[in-house]
Amino acid sequence: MQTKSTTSGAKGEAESLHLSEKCEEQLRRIFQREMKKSAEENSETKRETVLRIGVDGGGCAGFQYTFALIDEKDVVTGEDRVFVGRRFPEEAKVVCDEVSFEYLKGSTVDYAEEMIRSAFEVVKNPNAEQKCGCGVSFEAKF
Amino acid sequence: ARQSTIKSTKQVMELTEAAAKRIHELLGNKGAEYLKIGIRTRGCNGMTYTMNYADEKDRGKFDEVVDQHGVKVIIEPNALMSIIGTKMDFVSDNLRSEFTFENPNAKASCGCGESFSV
Repeated sequence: MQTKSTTSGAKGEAESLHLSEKCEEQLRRIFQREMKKSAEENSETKRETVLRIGVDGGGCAGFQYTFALIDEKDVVTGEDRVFVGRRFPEEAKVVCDEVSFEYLKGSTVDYAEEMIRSAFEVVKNPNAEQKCGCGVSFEAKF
Repeated sequence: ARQSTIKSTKQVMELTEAAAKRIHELLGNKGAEYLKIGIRTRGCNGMTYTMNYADEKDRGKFDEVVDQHGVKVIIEPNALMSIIGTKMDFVSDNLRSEFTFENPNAKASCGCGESFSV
C-alpha cells in the first residue's frame, strides 16, 4: 500500500480520526472473515475490509455520514486519508477523502451495539453543531 | 419436511425467521423469557420503537404476546394500535445489523428508518 498512514491518537489529536475499541474489533472481524473467504475461494476477488467514511449533503440535519466497505486497492493515493487502529493497525483501517475529512476531523468512529441495531457511527464530532436522533445526519459548525 | 403450524388467530405482529433467530440469541444471552416492544415519542418523525427484555413478572395484564418461531414477544398495550400488522425482520451485513419494522400504519418514516408517524 502506497498511502500515507496516520495512526489514530498520534500527534495532533484534532487532526485525526479516532477508532474506538469496538470499531477496531468489528473491522478486525470483517477483515478475518474476508481473508478466510478469499482463502477458501482461492481467488483474487476484492476483499472489502477497509471502512470508507464520507460526508454528503442530505438527511434531516443538513449533512449525513456515509459508510462503505471497500477493497484496499480502491484507496486513492493523494486524495484519501488513511487511519489505522492502535490495537490492530493491520486489520482496522478507516479512510476518508480530503473534503469529508474537513467535517470529520477530531471525531471518533465507533461500532455501536444495541439490542435494536448495531452499526458503525461517527461520534464526538467536534465539527457538528447538532445531530439527528439516529446520529446519521448532523448540522455543521460554520 | 417442515410442518407449518396454523394459528387459530392472527397475531398482531409478524416475526420473520431471521428476526426470531436474533431474538432467540438475545434472549438466550440474557436469560430472559420475553422481548418487549413498545413505542415512544422520539426521532424526527414522531415515534420510535423501543426494545427491552422482560420476564413473566413484567408482563402486564393487557400486554399482547406474539409467539412465533419459538420466541415470545410482548407488545405494550399503548403501542398496539400503532404496531398492529407490522412485520418485524432482522437484516444484517458487514456494516450494520438491525431489526426493521414494516409497518402498514406508518404514514411516513425518517431517512434512517428509526422513527415514524402514524
